[in-house]
Amino acid sequence: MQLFQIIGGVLKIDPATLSDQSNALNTPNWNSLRHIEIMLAVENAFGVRFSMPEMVSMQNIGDMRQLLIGKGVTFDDAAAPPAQMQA
Amino acid sequence: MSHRSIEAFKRLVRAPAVLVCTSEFSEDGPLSVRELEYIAPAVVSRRSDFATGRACAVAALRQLGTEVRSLERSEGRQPVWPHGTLGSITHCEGLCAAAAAWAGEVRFLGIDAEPNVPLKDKVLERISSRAERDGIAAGDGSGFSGKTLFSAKESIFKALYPAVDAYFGFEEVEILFSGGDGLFTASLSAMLQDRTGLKEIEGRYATTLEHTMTVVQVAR
Repeated sequence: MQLFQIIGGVLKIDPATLSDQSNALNTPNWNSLRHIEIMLAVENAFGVRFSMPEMVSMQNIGDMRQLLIGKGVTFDDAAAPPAQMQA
Repeated sequence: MSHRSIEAFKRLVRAPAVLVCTSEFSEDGPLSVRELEYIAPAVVSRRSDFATGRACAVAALRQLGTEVRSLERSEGRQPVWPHGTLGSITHCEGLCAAAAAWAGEVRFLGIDAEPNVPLKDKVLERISSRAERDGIAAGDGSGFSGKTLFSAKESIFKALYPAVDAYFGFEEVEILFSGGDGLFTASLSAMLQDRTGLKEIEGRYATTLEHTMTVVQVAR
């Protein structure tokens, strides 16, 4: 299961532009309502449930990934930044 | 069409609070050094939302008679309103606004605006109780929708957060439906009652073709 794919789908942006550093500030279309939609999509995809404190504590995708790992989730996609950010 | 939203939003805020509202977005807002540092890595649309919101806030504070030039920013990422004042900022597609008041006259103040498009069923289910969903489904012809309910809870969160000093969930607030007069009442959880001294809180709402807007304003 790919975290970037899920979040990119909710935000209607190319998943390749996302990294673990992506957040509401540096990512288009990520507002408070979209944040909830992201949480619900991730919950549905990985069969987990986030509490409210968990939802608001996630500052970026990396935080979300760590929280999911703590809930026993494993990932197919790498946590590395996209290619254009590695140059 | 945004002028209808602007006029409707202005009618929701009552003196002694003031509201500054615009549909014109710009990246050239009056930002403090700390805010400039914060917003530097943001995408253009986010910078524009942020700067326009701060411009509205400064204009509202000046209407109150202050000489503030910019807002500071707390470690908790919240705007720091000048001593003796309080306020609230909102922005969404096509609309940006800030409300401000003297803290000696207004105890709680929160505003929110959202595009007037339906809330997804799964989101509504997550942010509302069965009774709230039943209230929306019953309908009263006033345009109070799931999106209005979301906006109302956002306004309540913004109004109460300074007193509560912690994030709280949508389930801590339950909207009570009373009759399509542009007013809503919300009951507060025991935790919120303890922190605010209020059992219930009232707000006002309005909808246009483009937006749904809510205001929570509690006098001293």
